[in-house]
Amino acid sequence: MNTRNFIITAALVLPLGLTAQERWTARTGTVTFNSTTPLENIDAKNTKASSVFDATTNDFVFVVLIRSFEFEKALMQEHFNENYMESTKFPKATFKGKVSGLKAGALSAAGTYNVTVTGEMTMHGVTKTITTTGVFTVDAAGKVSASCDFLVKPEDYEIKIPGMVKDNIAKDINVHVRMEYVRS
Amino acid sequence: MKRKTVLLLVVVALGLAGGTYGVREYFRGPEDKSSETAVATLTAEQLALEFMNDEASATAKYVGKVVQVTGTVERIEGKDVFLRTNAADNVVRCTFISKPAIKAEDIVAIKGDCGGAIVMIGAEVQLSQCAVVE
Repeated sequence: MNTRNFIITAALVLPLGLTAQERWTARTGTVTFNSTTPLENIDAKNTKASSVFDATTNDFVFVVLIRSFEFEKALMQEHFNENYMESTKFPKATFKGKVSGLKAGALSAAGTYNVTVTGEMTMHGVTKTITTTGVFTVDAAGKVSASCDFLVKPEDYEIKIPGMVKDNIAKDINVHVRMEYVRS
Repeated sequence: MKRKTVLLLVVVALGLAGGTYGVREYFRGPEDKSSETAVATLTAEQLALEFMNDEASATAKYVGKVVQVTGTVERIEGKDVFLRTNAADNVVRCTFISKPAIKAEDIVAIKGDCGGAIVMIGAEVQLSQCAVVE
């Protein structure tokens, strides 16, 4: 390759390298939620959330299927799906947003990185803006995980709780999200 | 007097039966879908493709219903059995109540409650409360 061709090739290829996506994906993310009242504690877990995090643009998305939440008691699971979340009509909950506070290339070095996550959460057919804090962790082996916690008010998502059980379900539900990413 | 006693006994018996049923129902754990009739029987490949090609239509057809899926076990992770499809990123993930007695490369038929699919990194169809169909 002569000098001229080298310069032309470099001019074409280098920008591609500079804008190459650093994309991380997860298919075994965990989403748990907990409702605590003096009358009853309700816990549910879903270990099948999918997520994509683009470390170049800091775009972050996670999706979870409502019917994949598991409860200890079958009756709670049935009520959750049929009466509250109407999971055949609204089968998913999604979050699409941006992570801020994570420096470029941070995920290449072991450490704990505090971030802010802001985005749109869609659930039960209603979309609301959520801002919360989260943590990215890179362990010594280079494994990347991320977690965040936030509160959800059922009424914000038009989830109707019948008067008879309104004292059994908390006004604010604690949601915890944890993803273990692989680079893709 | 005798009539009143009988009536009282009937009321107590009904109360006890109702109470027992209520307590049992409240503490009932999740059960698999082995005893339910599937609305459709199809291969893992077909099910994943239906969601990949027209998610809204597949959601209306299958979500919240029991489906029976046949396929080859790609891998097992705890209570989750992954059925292989021809597209590397498409998979049917079947969650059991407890780890089933099957292994990778077995050809199986599985019945479960269809929760839909996450169409993001390919299509991952998720079935829960699964049972192996003998």
